[in-house]
Amino acid sequence: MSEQRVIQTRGLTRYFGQKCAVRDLNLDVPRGCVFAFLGRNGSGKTTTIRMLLGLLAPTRGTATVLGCDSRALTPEVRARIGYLTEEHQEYGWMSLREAADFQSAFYPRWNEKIFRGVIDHFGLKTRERIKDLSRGQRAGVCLALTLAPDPELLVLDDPALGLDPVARRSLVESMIYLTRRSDRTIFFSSHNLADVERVADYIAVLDYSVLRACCPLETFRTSVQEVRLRFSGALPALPKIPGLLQAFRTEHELRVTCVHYDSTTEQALRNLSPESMEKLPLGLEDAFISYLGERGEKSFILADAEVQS
Amino acid sequence: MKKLFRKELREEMKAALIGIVILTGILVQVYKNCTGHGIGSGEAVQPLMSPALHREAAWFCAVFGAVLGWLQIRAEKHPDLWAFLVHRPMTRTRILGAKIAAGLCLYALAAGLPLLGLLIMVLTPGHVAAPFEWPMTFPLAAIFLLGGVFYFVGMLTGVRQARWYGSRGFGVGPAIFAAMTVFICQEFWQAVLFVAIFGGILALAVWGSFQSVGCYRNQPMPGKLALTAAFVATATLLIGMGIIGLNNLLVPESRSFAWSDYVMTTNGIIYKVSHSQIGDPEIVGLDGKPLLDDKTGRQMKLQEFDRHSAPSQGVLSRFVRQNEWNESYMDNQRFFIPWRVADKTFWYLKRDGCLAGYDGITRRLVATLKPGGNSGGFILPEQPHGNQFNSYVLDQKWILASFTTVYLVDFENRAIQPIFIVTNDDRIGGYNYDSLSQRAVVVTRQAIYLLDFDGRVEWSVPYQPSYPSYPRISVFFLEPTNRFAVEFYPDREANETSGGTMPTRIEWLVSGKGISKILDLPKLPKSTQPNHNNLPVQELACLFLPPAFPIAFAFSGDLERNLIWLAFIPAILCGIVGWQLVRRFSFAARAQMGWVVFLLLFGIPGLLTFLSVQEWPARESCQNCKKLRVVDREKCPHCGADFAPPEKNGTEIFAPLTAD
Repeated sequence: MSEQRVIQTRGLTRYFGQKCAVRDLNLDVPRGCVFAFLGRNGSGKTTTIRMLLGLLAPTRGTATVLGCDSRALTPEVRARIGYLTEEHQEYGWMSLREAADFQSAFYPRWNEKIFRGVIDHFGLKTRERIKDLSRGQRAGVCLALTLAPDPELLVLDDPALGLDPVARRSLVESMIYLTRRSDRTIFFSSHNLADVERVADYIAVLDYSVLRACCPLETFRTSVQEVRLRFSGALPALPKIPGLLQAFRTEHELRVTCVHYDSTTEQALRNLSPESMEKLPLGLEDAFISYLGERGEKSFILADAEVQS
Repeated sequence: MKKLFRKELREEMKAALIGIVILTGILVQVYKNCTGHGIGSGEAVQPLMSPALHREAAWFCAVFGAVLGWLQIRAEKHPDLWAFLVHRPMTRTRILGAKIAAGLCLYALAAGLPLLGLLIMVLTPGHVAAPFEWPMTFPLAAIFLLGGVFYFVGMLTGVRQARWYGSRGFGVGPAIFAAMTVFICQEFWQAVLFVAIFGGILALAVWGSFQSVGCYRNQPMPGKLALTAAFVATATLLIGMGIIGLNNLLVPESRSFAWSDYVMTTNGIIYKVSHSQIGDPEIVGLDGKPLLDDKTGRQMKLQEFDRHSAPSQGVLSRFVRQNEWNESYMDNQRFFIPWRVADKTFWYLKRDGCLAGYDGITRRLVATLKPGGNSGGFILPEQPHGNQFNSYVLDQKWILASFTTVYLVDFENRAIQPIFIVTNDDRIGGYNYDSLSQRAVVVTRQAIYLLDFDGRVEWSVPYQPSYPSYPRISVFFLEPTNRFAVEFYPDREANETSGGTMPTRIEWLVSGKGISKILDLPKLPKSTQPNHNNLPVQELACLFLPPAFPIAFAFSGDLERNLIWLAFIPAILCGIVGWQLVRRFSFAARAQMGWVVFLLLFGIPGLLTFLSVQEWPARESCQNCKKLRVVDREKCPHCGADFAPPEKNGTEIFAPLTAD
């Protein structure tokens, strides 16, 4: 594997009984980037992360992390990987100090300053017991324990899950702080696209266990395009448009969202003879929702709308 | 590793403290039962050898060990906490090692501390009025070690990914076998050996399962083998228990039990009494004529007949001392026999042949009586099997004997007085006495003596037929009182080996006149045993147990050899079923061969094991050949095609990712 690829998967597949959670995942995560791993609930993000860290065996396929087969990660490689779980589970009976002492015993590169820094950022005191903390504070403790070993690869499984906006912002700021080191890679899953938009270089999108997108963030945003068509009379039936994600009808307006918008798409839309046609700017969240949302045509007015696609 | 060890100690310390309290309560209760009531309680007064203590300590150690092991895994069963535990720069073997080390320390604390307390109590003079030897600690040591085996059962149950109503608890079989061996084995080292073997299998299975988070598929080979062995043991145990349970539950006791024996009446006549489950016993003379009741003229009832039977004293000649009886290490008779209680003094016959007296109030050793010379200590009289502390010494006199001398025991003065000494070339092999009539029967290699308690020989007869062919002697006291009969009963095993050619011999004699008559009794009809086997237990065992068992039983004579073929039917059927399954799920060639051979060797328990340990992958239709293929193989086993990539829906966005 190339030294530039921190994570590489080939045909990574996992079944739970008869259900396929991840299907033939081929992923390459470059070194030194912030990589967002996106998808709806149950799309296989956590399963993939667990397979990457050797916590779950793949049904077939391979994954390498920092050049090591994920099924046999050595202690040396594990020392270079920080992992933050989605529910921020810790030993509740420990105080923050005890937790730090416990964790630091395993990591030779433990950095007390980072631990202190994150703890202070979340306004926590080291004598507090973890079980007495709020969910957001627990997330801060987990993040501190994950960052303090100064990992080369940081794997965060939906780190902002269940956090209030302030706590979430603290978490994101900590992540931004961490990315100052150029050779550090962050691989994280999230449902919060505003956070993703702020920090991610690349995104990968899982849709029903299958990887549908893997590209720079900007590429994704520009690939998903929304077009508004206005008509003076009745709306025509929608022809078959390549890459159509959604179409939304009102009385004299048709909004079409599609991927890979190009001249062919544009020509297909112009053939509907609209009075006007306008490209609308689309944020990541809108693009993502359109991308993973319900496909096809929707209408609140024309119940008998037909879709040819 | 130290940090993990300390973390585990901290997390489960509460369980250990609860364990200490429970076991201490149990021990206090048993200790009170053993030492509190004292005389007449019927309990063994040495708590270390109390069967009740062994039973309750074994239950505690097994349950506590299993719960502790399960709790240690359960604490981190949440996938995120599990990830937090194992995702650290440490091998899983070391993580598990830290867990086990802490768990066993806590187990040792919870089970060992109260047991140690008990031992200190026993060792401190003034607490237990009974002899102590260090080997008496072996039973509790074995039980303590047994808890370690159950600890691994708890861990395995916790770590395995299986349903509770399925095979989740299937690790328990080896631990139950270990428990059985602890209580059955003759010697301590044998028990320790079996505990180590079964514990080792379970520890290996836990290690393998921990590596793969409870799955079978990704375990190292030693873990797979250990898990399979553990499951075979459990499946075999379950099937065996099922057969026995069915047999006991469903089949009413047969009414075919019949046996007969000879009974001597006080007037010296022998009758044959034939018992059966149906009707009254039949009492006939040696000439075959039924015995009639003089009053009714009808056949005599057994109740009436018993009034006429002659009193007797039986002696089983052994010519060995108590310590040569080879009792189990768990039996107090290996070390001592509670003998008599006299004036609140507990008298024990110890295995070195010495009579030791412990004061019931101060609970200290107050007297030791031992025969002088080279006689090698007392040998045990015939009657005291088990605890004799229910017998009080009032004004009776008591007899003990060494190999050469018979003694009268004076409990009041804590002294012994020799009353009879055998000749130099003779040796006492057994004796019996009756305190009320003050007569003792003493059997030596050469003769059988009837003595009074002053040592006077009332009569003697040669021990012919002799020991060891005829080890059991009975002396009948007839009427008038100077008439006796001596019965020589053959050794059962030797008699069976000789085809029943060793008759029971009776010699009638008159005191002062010698033997008046000798008679070899006719062979009795063979007794028919109660037949519980209306269920074909042997056939069921052949069908449902691993074929190795019926074959071993057949060669040891416990099973009819013509039934062996039955064992092969299920084995072959299981082999065929297994072959179908391994083909269906496209096992690797070596795995296919291994499982089929395994199923042929272990039959139905093997099949249960196979179904329990394996995870069965999903199957999908191959896009190339359209046949079903398992999803965990890269290539289709039918056509060799790869899996087709996921179907594109036209919305894919892929772009090269460049490293910064």
